[in-house]
Amino acid sequence: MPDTLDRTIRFGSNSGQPMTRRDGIAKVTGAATFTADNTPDNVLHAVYVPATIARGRVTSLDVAAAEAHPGVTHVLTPANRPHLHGDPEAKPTMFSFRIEVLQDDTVRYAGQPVAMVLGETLEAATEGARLLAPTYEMAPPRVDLDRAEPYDVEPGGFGRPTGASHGDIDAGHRAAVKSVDVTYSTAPQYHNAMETHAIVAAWDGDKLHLDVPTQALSMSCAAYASFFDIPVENVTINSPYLGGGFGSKAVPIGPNILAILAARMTGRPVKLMLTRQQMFGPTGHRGATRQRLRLGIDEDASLTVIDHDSLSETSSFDDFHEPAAGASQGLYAAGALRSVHRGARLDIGTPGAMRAPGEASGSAALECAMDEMAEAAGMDPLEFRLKNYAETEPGTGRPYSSKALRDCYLQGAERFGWAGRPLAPRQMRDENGLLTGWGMGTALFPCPMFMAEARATLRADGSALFETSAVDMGQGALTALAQIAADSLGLPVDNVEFRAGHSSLPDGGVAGGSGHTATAGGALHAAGSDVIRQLGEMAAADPASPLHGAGNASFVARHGRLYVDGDDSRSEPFADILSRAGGADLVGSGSASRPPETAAQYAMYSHGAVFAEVKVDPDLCQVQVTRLVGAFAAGRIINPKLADSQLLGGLIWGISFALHEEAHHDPVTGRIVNADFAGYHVPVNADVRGLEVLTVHEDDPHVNLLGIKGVGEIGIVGTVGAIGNAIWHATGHRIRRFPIRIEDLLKA
Amino acid sequence: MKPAPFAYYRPTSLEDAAARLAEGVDDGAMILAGGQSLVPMMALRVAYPSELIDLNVLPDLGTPFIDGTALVVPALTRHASFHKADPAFGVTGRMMAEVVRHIAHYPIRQRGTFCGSLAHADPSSEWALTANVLGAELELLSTRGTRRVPIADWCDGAMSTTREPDEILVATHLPLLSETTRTGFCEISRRAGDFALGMALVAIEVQGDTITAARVGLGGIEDAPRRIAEAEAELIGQPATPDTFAKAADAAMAVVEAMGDATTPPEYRRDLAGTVIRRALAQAIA
Amino acid sequence: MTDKTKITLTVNGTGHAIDVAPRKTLADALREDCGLTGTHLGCEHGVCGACTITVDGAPVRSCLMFAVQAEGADIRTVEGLANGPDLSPLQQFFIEEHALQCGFCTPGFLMLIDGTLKQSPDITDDELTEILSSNLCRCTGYRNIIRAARRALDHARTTTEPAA
Repeated sequence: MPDTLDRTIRFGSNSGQPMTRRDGIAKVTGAATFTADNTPDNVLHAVYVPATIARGRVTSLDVAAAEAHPGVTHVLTPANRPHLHGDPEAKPTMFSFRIEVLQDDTVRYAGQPVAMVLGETLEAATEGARLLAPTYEMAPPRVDLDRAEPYDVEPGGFGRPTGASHGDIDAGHRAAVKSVDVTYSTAPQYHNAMETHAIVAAWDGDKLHLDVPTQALSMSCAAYASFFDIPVENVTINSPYLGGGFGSKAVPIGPNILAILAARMTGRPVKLMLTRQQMFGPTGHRGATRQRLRLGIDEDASLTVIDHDSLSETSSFDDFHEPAAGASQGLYAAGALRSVHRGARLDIGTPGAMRAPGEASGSAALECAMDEMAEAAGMDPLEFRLKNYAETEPGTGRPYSSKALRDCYLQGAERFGWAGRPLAPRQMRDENGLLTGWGMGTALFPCPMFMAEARATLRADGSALFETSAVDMGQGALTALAQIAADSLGLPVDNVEFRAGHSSLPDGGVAGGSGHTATAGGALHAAGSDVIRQLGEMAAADPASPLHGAGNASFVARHGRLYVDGDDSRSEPFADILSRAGGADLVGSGSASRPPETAAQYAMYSHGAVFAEVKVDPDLCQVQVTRLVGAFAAGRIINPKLADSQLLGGLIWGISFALHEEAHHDPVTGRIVNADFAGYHVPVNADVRGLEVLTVHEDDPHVNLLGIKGVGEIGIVGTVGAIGNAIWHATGHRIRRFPIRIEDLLKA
Repeated sequence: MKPAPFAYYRPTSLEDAAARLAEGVDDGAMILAGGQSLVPMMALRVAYPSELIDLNVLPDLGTPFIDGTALVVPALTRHASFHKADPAFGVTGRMMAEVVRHIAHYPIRQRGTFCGSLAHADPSSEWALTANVLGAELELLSTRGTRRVPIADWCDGAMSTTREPDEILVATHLPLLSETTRTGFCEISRRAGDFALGMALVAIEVQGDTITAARVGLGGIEDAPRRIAEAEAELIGQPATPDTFAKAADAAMAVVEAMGDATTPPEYRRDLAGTVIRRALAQAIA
Repeated sequence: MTDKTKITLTVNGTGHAIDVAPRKTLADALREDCGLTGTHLGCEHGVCGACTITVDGAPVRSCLMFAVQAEGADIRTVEGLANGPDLSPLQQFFIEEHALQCGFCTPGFLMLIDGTLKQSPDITDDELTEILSSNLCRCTGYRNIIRAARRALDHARTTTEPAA
């Protein structure tokens, strides 16, 4: 497959248009069904008992009391849990996590399932779970990252990030005439999609049907099949809508396996829906970090070194280390660059990928450290970043596939009104006397492509069906992918039916890493192209077609007609070509992934610049983010309405990271004390004002066939640092701990 | 997240409710009014009443009314009843319309009740603060009869009151402010709609430039809202100026025993007490 | 008693005769017993607002009421907003302004706004923002939710019949 877009294929009739969501009506009428909306006949309700200690073992469960409660049908404990083929402690694939499925009585974190109760009603199962009243033998929990013993992370793929070192680090430090050496902290955060995790499992012989929200249908089928020793084709997953995912719904969690096991054991469908409190345990989280950044500049204010050391928490039994130090690779033109990852084991659930893993946390620290370096240099933060702008990827010297970051800086600064910002902090007040500050940060996010397949069916009436097991978790895949699909056949999007969200469809890949539109979109485009190719062959070989004999020409599809490229006088409607061939559907297939040679040749990133204004109450140190302007270059934007919404959502996640989100562990039990929406704060409407997003034009001929880079995560990336820097600019205080709390500013 | 089983009782009158409560209280029977605090506590299994006696089925308990010089707030008056100031309630009504906007969220205010808030006795209850500043009397009913408790004797700690377990808070009597009173309210929360970190409600009278009467209430700072006499003393007879307000705030900060929590140290709440008092006073004369 | 009782809920104008225990929340009764799953559960302790519906015109959290309390009330859910195939203006504004992403919080926001505008069409933009802060969206589409709600507010202001 060529790695550049074939210019003869017309793009833009649908792609690039701000179309409204195709699932809009279903979602405003209540017709969209989420997993928990399914309640099959004869269903049993499952409720699991979460451990209330973080380390130790369960010494007793009052099974008799639970079983005696009316409506309780079964109690699953390590003593009677049926055999599970897959080893929950094994990691058969790169994306496997160790999980708890009642394999023994040990407790390795608070919130881990220690028993599961099944009942005829959810109320009965809930009461049964309470009556189990576990007792524990408790060991002192290790939940404080600052007291844990660090070790070097052994690189090994997902969750075990590779470090990097380019250039002579020591020389970089020595060459510095000015330097900063600062440590930033980030807090544990929990995804908390509005839809809690849920599953409805039903067995039919050795066939398993699941309703479960998943960001990766095909991968999930394989995982479930391996746990239950059935062929992968025996697993079907229905996942039409996800009520948000953010990384937490990509891999099977222990409670889901237990529910499936319970369904097999009882021969009845089993439904499990996690409570909000249970979303703070076995569902992954963004691990806390402590990041030391040492930066140096020469007399010319050019960076001589970026030395980024990240310590991250992981569980006592598995590895997922926030790849935070990786954020320093690929951005600024430093003479020497080093990223080091160290880990520490705590009695917590294993962290995982959460919206912008690595970059969100890493750039929070990096962008603040850059601001401190600019301050030391006596330079405007934007000027300092432009001074250290990387024209090629630092360290590797590879060209960027495209990089419109300079435009992001300039357009964002212009829109924000950055010019005239006083260099020194604590210079600005608003009309109400609030301290006002402006800060900025750079955003960078990689553009991965995964692997996806798709099928296109051109029907005799000229309409088309496209199919791939893509996932809409809110980002708008059902709409954007339909736009790409329609363009591949030159059809209006309304003539295209698009099916996704079910495992029986061709593998749509993973909705993650901001790579879904590029990957699944690439596959859809390839499938459509395959139809056009076949259609062209049919027409060229058909003496009755105006396209007869044009076999060596390329064809273009527009408005439901096939044209000889460059010769508008020769064309024919799809329907006519098909009709003469007997009127059967024409089926094409396609796949997409990135050719390894392209991946090696180019550095591929989305870029952005975020500018923040904060106001700080001088008496109370309360912080309000009053304006955020983000300018992003992310290749081709398929649907500006959807893309803006993703980027805005990212900005708000940035506010949340910078000012709100943090899970607190009780030092005695190790439990998270704010494990609900009352205690774990995410922003509300009134916290969010003055947001603006611009997308900067960017043609990327290399990143993939369609030139798509992805927008789902980058919005958070520069924002956290921009807010931290704006708070410094308002108050003169550098707070090196996120979220920034009132008391940090008071103490400063 | 499902409440434990309970029985549900529809009383025919307040007296019937009191009789039922007396009968069942030892087993854990409770009164259900707005339910906006009790029901989440039941879902979280912090509360598991054996029976709920639902006052919502009783007529005529929803509308506040004037009785002589007091505003009477019956047991089922929802927070939302105060969204629009009833002209008949004068300055008091306008003050309550300002305060009510800070209580929880709009949908919660549709169900939650004034008396329920006093009975729940959260330290950051806006209505408990209001009742303190107005010098409320609480009317309690049981099978033993009725009694009235002055607000100063109501809370005996966070989430704790002097109500006997078999008593129902059937009404709160709020003495009306004089029409020359000026009021101010300032509340600070970490995030819009959250429980307050602290709040002040003030009611002052000013003749010429001089403050002739002052009530200064603080909520959310200590384990229960109360009036701060030391702050009031700094105001009376003094000019209504920022300097005077600052002295009142300092006096309050010197005497409050501020609470701390996981994310908010007591020193912050003490400082916050001074700030909200200054701002509430400034608002009162604005 | 804790046993089930027969009640009739009137939801979107239709009676549903159901058999519920007192502890069943209105939200659960709507979802499980009336088959109206458009009302979503996001926290079950009254914070997130995903389960917001209107009861006698007022927007309330259906997880904080028991079904037995709602007998005789006029209950409205997201399923009742449209008039057959015709979306209400508010629903239309939500689609046009892209005020939804994953859609899980959407029914709660719609009912919050619908109830608010019916109760108080005279609120200010600032009051509207404060009211919209009652519910959580995690995706987060706040800016567009505010835009859609403001359009609905403007629409309500211009189309409300003057009081007779």
